[in-house]
Amino acid sequence: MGATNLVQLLVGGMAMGAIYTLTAKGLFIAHLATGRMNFGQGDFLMVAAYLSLAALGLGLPLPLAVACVILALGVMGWGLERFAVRPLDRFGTGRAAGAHAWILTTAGVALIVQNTVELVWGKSSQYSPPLFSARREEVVTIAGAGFFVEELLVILAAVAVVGAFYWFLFRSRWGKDVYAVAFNPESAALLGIDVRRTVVMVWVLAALLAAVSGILVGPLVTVQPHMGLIFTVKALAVASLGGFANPLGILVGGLLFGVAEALSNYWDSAYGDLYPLLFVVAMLVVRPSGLFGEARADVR
Amino acid sequence: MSPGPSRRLAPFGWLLAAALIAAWPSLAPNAFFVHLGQTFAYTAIAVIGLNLLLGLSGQMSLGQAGFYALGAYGSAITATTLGWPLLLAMPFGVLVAAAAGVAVGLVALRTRGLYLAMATLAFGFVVEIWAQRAVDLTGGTMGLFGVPTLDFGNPRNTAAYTFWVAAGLLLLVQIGSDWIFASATGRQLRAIKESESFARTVGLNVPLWRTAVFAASAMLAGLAGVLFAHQTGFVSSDAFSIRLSIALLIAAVIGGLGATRGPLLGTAILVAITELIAGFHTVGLIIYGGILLVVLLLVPEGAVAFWRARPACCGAAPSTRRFHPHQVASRLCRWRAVAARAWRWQACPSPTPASRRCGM
Repeated sequence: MGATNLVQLLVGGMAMGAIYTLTAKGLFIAHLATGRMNFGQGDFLMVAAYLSLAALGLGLPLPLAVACVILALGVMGWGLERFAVRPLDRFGTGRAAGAHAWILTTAGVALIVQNTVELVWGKSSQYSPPLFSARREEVVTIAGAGFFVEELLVILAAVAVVGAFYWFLFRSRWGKDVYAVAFNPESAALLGIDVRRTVVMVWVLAALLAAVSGILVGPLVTVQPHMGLIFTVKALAVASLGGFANPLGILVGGLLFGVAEALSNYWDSAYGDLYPLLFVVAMLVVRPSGLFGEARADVR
Repeated sequence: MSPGPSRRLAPFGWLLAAALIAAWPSLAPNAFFVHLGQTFAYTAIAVIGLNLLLGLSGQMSLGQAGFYALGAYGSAITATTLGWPLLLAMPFGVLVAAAAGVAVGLVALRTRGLYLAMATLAFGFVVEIWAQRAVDLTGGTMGLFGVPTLDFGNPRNTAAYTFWVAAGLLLLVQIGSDWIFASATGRQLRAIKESESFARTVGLNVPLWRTAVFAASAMLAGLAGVLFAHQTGFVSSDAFSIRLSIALLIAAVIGGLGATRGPLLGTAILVAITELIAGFHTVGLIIYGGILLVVLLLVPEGAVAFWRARPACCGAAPSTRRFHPHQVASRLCRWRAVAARAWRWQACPSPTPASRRCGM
């Protein structure tokens, strides 16, 4: 494997890794604030990919298409929280009967979403038009190595969104609200934070992250109605790798996972997608709460 | 905690079940219902395993399909390619699954909650990918043909024999589950579920119990897989996708987690739903997801709630508000209590956290 080849693989891996990072951020923020997450995050991503494909197919300009997709996914995130997650609160958050119910309610919504997309757009795989370049295969040559323009720009866009996310989480008042609610909803409420609004916002934000990843991933892969689950699994793997408690760890974990996947697919095309998952499981054995997770006592 | 049926009456229930099992192949209106009975029996075995794991010891597994697949392939490959007799091949399949269960259980010791869900999910995917790609061994998606069925030398009675074996094993497993739920072992596992630190403090060997229950759960999933492999004589990797893990989880939750009769109810509902939506396959997932949502949002304790005196959450913490509809509802009979809760969105306020309760 030549050096050029290696760099190309790294860029391709980082592009997918950036997508995984964005998807995992959605899982992370919902888990941070509510202890729950959307098991249909990948399916939301799939919906976003289809919507952007349809919007671009209608000839909408890119900013307008992106705005439409983001709006639609925001509404989906709100609906998910309102109708599939919030009603569970009245059963308590105890570890008894309903402790894991959110996994199944969000997965139930994911099934409905999958089927709906299948009814609207059909089962077959589709190719999304490129977002930034004129053709899918447009290549730019940097230092003798050719790169897909699309991949480079996807990385840039993902980095920008991740940056915005960090600004939101660490620098804005809303981010502080989220951390306060994560720490303790009751004391947050006593401090005058609207807990319910913060929780809704977090779920909407998670859906928006799925929207951005869906728009960006469209040109990189083929889009089909059942692609969502594998994205959920990989995002979950990335979030576990980075540590659910650590937002910076997810960025590292995501890029690491994407690159590992690209290299492993190159090395062994038959079992390529097997090794990254094994790698994550092995990592969990060595560092059970992720690469950068804090050591937490088992107090429950 | 689940009171379950009275222990004195339980043996009569088992006898009744045994009689029903013996008579079912002749009672069933046609061969399809015998086939359905087989499917119900082995699926229920896997769901009982998941109920022990999640309902009793509180460990999440999203990878039960992996154990199921290992059991199925362990038995099918040895019986087909290596030509082992079924009496040897089937226990071998169960053993393979149990060994994998010990391995995953050891990983599970290091992880909790979401990380455990992730690790088991990854395990399920790893097995699925292996089953798909190791075509020489497993036949991949094309499948493994000619797996011997349970005909005991009389091919015309295969369906009944398969049903008797599967349902008989289910009965044994159910008796075992009833016993565990009522025994000291069950209480120890519940202690681990409530608080691991507490369980350790009172002298329980937590790692041992957690691994053991994982192995037991994997073994039961493997047994279900073995029976599945020999039901139709054809094993394809398509049968072992993550959807199977989710379906088993759905059955466990719909039936009622942590109740020993829950898996039977849950599996019956799951099998019924699967057959009912077969005719509407274009909207099958919508129906499936819709039922899942409705059940979880309205009757989260699962179907066993209908067998209890009243829903647990209505009876537990008295409300601080002067009047609350659930107090009225809980005095009514059990069916109306559940119905009232279904009708009124906020009938059962959560004890914690206060901030997410109604009015805030």
